[in-house]
Amino acid sequence: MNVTVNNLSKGFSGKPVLNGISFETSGGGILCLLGPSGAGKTTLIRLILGAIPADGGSITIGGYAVPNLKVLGDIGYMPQNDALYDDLTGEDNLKFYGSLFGMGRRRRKERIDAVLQMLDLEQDRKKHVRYYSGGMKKRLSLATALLNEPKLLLLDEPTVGIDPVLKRTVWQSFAAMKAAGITLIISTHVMDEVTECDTAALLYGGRLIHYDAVDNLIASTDSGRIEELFYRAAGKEER
Amino acid sequence: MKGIAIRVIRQLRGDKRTIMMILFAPIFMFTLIYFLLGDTDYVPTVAVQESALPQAIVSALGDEDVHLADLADYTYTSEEQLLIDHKEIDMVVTRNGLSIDTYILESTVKSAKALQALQSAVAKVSQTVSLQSRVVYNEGASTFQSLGFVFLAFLSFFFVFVISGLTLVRERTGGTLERLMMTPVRRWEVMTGYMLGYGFFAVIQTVLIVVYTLYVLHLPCAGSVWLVFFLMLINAVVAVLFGSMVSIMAATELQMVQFIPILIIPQVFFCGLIPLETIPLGIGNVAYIVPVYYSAEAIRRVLVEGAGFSGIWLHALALIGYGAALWVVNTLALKKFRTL
Repeated sequence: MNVTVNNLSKGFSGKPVLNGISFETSGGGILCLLGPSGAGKTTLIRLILGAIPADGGSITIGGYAVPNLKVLGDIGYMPQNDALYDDLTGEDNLKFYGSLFGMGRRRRKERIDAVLQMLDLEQDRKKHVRYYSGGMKKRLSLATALLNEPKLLLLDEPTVGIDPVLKRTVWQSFAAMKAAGITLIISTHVMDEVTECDTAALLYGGRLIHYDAVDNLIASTDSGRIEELFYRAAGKEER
Repeated sequence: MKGIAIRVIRQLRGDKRTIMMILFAPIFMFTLIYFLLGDTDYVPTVAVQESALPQAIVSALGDEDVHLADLADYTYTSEEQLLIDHKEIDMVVTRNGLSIDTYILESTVKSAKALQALQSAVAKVSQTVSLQSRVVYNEGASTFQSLGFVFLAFLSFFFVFVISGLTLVRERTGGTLERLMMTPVRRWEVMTGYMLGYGFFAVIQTVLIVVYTLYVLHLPCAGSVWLVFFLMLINAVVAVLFGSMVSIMAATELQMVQFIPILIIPQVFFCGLIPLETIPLGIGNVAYIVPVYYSAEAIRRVLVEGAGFSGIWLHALALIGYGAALWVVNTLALKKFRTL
């Protein structure tokens, strides 16, 4: 599903957070929203979802203006904080979100089994989430996002606070989803992760400073490191 | 909608302390109130003017469950002063021409028992003697029997409000509400789901409270018990919706708790504890925007007056209307999380 963002702006209580953001994803692949903390990554993801209204500009997903109930059925979303119910078991969390997508009993069971297996949570499915470790919660949150077999995945800092081994597996699963034709939009402030993505949107101070294929962006730097583009933006601002 | 209701039930079931709070805290409160305001086996002391009163009445009173004292044993300037000086005396009985005068310091469970004993003694002897009761400090009687309806409506409302309000604030601040709105679920389904989920516990709570107060604590019910169940149930559902509405205004769980003295405690004053006509400046009319007023008044009519459906339908309708309005407000308020 293609996401089109056109001249988007958003502020909170008078302070602009995002300003004149425009880009368009083109069929599949992993788009990485890269930027330091406070650059507006989370706000951009919430705007794309339609969780908050934009002050100006427009967003369409698959040709529909957001928010749209039909489109929401095809989106998988993983918020930065794990929006899970501590008082429920892992499986009950998934059952709940499954019911919101209007899944039938049989399909829901199949999907729950599939995502739990994919994220290696099968042996912990009956455990209450309050007894989960941070990494397990992350994985369950990701499982929730994958439950409805989304065509578009929006992941807000999915690898924060998980160990390097798990991070490896998680990125491998993203690659597998990309191969399955899913569009992924992943926000991160870890510059190393950009090499795993196809396209990168560099956010700095609420502006989109670069939007290009990752290979092109890296080629445009002297050091071969994406940070350089942020340093340049910071330098320009000082001058 | 069903999914949300089932999740709320599962979630609360996994939280044992909350279950105890919603189901057994009202029972505990009722038991406490029952002992505080209810019958006691206290034996009151009555000082009688033995020389002046008919002997038959004095001996009949002596047969009642009271301690008799002779007024002649005391030196006093007035009956009022005697009551103030001798706290052990609950009532003074004197003769005034053809009638009998009684003096009590204030209306309490103790003096009520003393008065009850005298009335019963007089009735046994003669129907013609008139009783003149004088109360030094009139502070209004309150007993479990006559005010049970207030606590039925209020306590149930309070506990359901606390549970639903607090868990909903947690959902708003914890991000799960925003997360669940990012699915194709409709806003009205979310609100109805919550209502049904908490309503499930409200039903259990209602049955427990009503059965306990009516059959264990023997709160008299002149009307139909089913009407009491019916009213208590809508009362609890309105409490869920009220809690949900207040949770919109609260940014944290602490703020939610802070709303209790502002929005919940005052309700108790407007639901029968104080006669509304006696409240000055027309403030008594505030009762009409207090949801517990409607449930308490309707429950009072059933319990005390033995009213049937025809006597309470207007109050029940007002309560349902109140709930419907809150449902609409809550559904609209979810727009904050998704404009659709």
